Amino acid sequence: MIHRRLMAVVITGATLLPLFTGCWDRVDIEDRAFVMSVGVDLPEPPAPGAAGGEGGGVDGQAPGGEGGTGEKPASPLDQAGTQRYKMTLEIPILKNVASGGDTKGAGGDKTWVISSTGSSLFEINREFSTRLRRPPFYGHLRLLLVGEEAARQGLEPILDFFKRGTEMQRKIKVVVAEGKASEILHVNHQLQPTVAEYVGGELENITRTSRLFDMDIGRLRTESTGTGDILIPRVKPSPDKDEIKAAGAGVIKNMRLVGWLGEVETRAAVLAMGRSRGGIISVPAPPDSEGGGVIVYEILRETTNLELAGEGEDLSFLMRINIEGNIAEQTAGVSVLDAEHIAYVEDQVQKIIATEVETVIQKLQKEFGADVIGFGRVVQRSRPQLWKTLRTRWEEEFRDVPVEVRVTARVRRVGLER
Amino acid sequence: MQRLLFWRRGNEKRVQPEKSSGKPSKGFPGDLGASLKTIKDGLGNSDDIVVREFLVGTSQQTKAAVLFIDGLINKDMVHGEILRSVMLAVRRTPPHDLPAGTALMRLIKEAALPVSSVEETSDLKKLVSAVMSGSVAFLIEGSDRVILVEAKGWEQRGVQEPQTEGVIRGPRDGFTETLRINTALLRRRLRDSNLVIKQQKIGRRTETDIAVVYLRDVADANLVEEVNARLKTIDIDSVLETGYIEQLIEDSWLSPFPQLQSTERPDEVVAAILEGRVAILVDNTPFVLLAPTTLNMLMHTPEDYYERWMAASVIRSIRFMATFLAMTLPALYIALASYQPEMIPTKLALAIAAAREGVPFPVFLEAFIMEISIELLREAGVRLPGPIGQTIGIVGGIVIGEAAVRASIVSPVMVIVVAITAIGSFAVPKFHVAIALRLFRFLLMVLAAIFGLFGVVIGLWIILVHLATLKSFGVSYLAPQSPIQLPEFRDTVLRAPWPMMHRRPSFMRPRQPDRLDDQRRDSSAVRQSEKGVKEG
Repeated sequence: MIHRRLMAVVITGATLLPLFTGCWDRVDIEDRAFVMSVGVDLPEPPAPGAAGGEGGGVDGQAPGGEGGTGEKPASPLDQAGTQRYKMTLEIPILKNVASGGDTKGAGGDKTWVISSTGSSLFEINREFSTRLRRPPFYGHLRLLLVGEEAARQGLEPILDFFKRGTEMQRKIKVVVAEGKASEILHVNHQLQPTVAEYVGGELENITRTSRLFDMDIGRLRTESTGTGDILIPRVKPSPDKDEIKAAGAGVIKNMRLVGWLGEVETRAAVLAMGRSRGGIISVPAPPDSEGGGVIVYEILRETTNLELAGEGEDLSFLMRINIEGNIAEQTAGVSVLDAEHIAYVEDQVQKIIATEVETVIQKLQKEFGADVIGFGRVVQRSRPQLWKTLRTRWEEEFRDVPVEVRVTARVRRVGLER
Repeated sequence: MQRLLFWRRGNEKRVQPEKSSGKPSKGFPGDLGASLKTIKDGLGNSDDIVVREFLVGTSQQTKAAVLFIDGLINKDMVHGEILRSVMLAVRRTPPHDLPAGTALMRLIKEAALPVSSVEETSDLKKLVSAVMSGSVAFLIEGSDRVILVEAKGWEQRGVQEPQTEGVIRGPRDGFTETLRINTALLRRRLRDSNLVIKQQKIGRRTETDIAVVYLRDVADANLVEEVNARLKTIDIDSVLETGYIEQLIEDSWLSPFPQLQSTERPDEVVAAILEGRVAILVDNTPFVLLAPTTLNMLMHTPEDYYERWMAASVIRSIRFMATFLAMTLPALYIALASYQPEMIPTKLALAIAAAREGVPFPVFLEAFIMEISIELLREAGVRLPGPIGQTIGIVGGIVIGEAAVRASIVSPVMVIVVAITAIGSFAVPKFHVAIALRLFRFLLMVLAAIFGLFGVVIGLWIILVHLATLKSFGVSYLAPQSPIQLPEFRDTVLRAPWPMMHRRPSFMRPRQPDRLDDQRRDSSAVRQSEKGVKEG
């Protein structure tokens, strides 16, 4: 009588179920404060003359003595010089975000930006409960902005909170803010309801330009394993604080920010990593054309093959970059149907890219000593034995390794006129 | 067989209580008046019994009588064929050689009753039963026997289009309340001498005619035997609808799922019989039972086989999807909105949250209120007379869809969920499956409210396990998915093109597995016929 037993279980269960209603995990969707972006900064230095011992201001200003008092009276640890952080949350205001279109305006502010300080992100997270009726919910967190100062202090202690959190996803985009992360979150942007969508959308434009690239927390964790060297996209607010530019990159060495790559340098680095999916190279007009102008080459796809050359301890690398692209525009007044001109464009593109890539590798080697492109991984993969001895002094070795860059560019289509 | 009958063990056959009609008589008293009294007593002396006494013959007149129940017989036939023949036509024969008593009765039966179905009996019980089902009893002075002339004729509904199982393409006729018309509808479609229609009566008081119909050379003999055995175990005073039979012979009566298919479409029944299944027809209801059945078959409509296979497959997939949604959507909404909002796309999550702001009830209560209201509307819609029903539907729709949202009692998203659920449940072709799914919808909602997505998964798992244990007359309810029979997948969620469906479903264990001999599959045959066409 299996059915009878089964039904008995089901009926008993169904009868008892109402007694157990309200599991502790149950928080109805409207009772959660959706956090769309998190900005992490170092707290501002104490304002001169501010009265000590007061609670933090709305913007998380931490008046008080050395190390700041934050939301609580200063603890001994703080005085002992423990690092403190300022965490800024971007929370959409539901009725303004969901009701109207995409633009800000009639409905009032789309988001609410709130900051608080403390010695750890988890602590700050809990302290937000004194400021918010609803618990912050990180399940829809899209963007982690790390302020420049905080990044220079080191990413590990910041990332730990996001690695451990049960609500966080691996697809959270990570960017470094030039200046303060909270400034980015306060930018008075127009089209998107939240900064998270704004910046997240920008980072997905990798098919249109190579001056930026995409980075999320999962990738950051896997690719920085080992050396701790990686590139993280850079964002910065415009001078008028009404737009956010996502271009360039922060160079991370040993999980600390050590410097910046400019936009063109970033493009070269992205090409060197083989992650370019788009981008424009402007080739000056060929010598036989009248009146100058440019021929615009658009990268469509790219593969990079990084190989270890050289024998024994005498390391060198060969980087082969293969690019396919179209001619997107030309103002040079030449016939791009000529094989001669196409060969010229291909040749010029190869030269431009080779120069750019070599320059950026030089810069990474000499200026930063940060192996963000992953030369070390190639050694580890192709000569594991050698890597064992090299690993500890790779930082030094890397600075002087010769790298040869060979670029092959092909024009696939020359475009069609209507 | 013993094993299959376990569900009735310990249910000993009760002694048939004696009928109120009294002793079974060995012949009637020769006296007409006494006979009539016996019969009238046997019939319970009701006022709808009509007795007409008259004289037969010219010179040596013999008393005779007809007795029938008003309303069950065709009066034209009684007047025109019985009374006219016996009272008038017999007079034309030479008056002198008329015998008397039983001999006269025989003569009348053989020579004077122009009716096809005539029977002679001396058994009161049989007579009562026959008169109750529309026969005319013909008695004659001096004979202890009675002639039963079948003259059935009563007010009945004609063959109409079924209300519950409409199709766009396909026959429009549906079964009626009269068993004989229903068997005729089957015969018209299946002119096969192997089509067996076996009748019996079930119901101590209702004496309802039950017909078991199958194809002798296709249906599994064990299956037929099992159906008959189970029907025999039924000992009930009344059978008013096939539902009685269905619930008395199904394998597990604690399950919410129907284990016999019921339909009012003759084409569906014939298709089932051709697959080697057994149909059970019951008098006084247009619904016919089909045994065994599987969940897959309950999700199919006859139209799936009439339309082209691609369209049919897509429609079927949509139907399965709608069924799943109808069962799970409110539960998923509850689970996602109260436990796992990270599973919803961000913009939708924000939209749901914004819509829920201001709603005073927790998500579960909101969903529960809405589902109950829609069930209420549906139930009320069935009861209310046609035109008013529609009005109530509109009013209810406005109340639920518009006013409740305006008043912030429910969120607009919930209205969408409820609407999809309701529409989805109407996409289930069989009403008795749809109501089972409705029950499970509420179970899943409760589980979702307590355990979130985990609860939904547990609930679905319970349902799946339950379905896997179900059997319908020895056939797995989930066949052919469980146990897995890949060749039979050609008629499940998708329907294979007809040229590929050349075998009957094997889990029905048909005696003749082949149903289609496709010439086109043999390429040489194709070429030859093409050549033939060209030459011709």
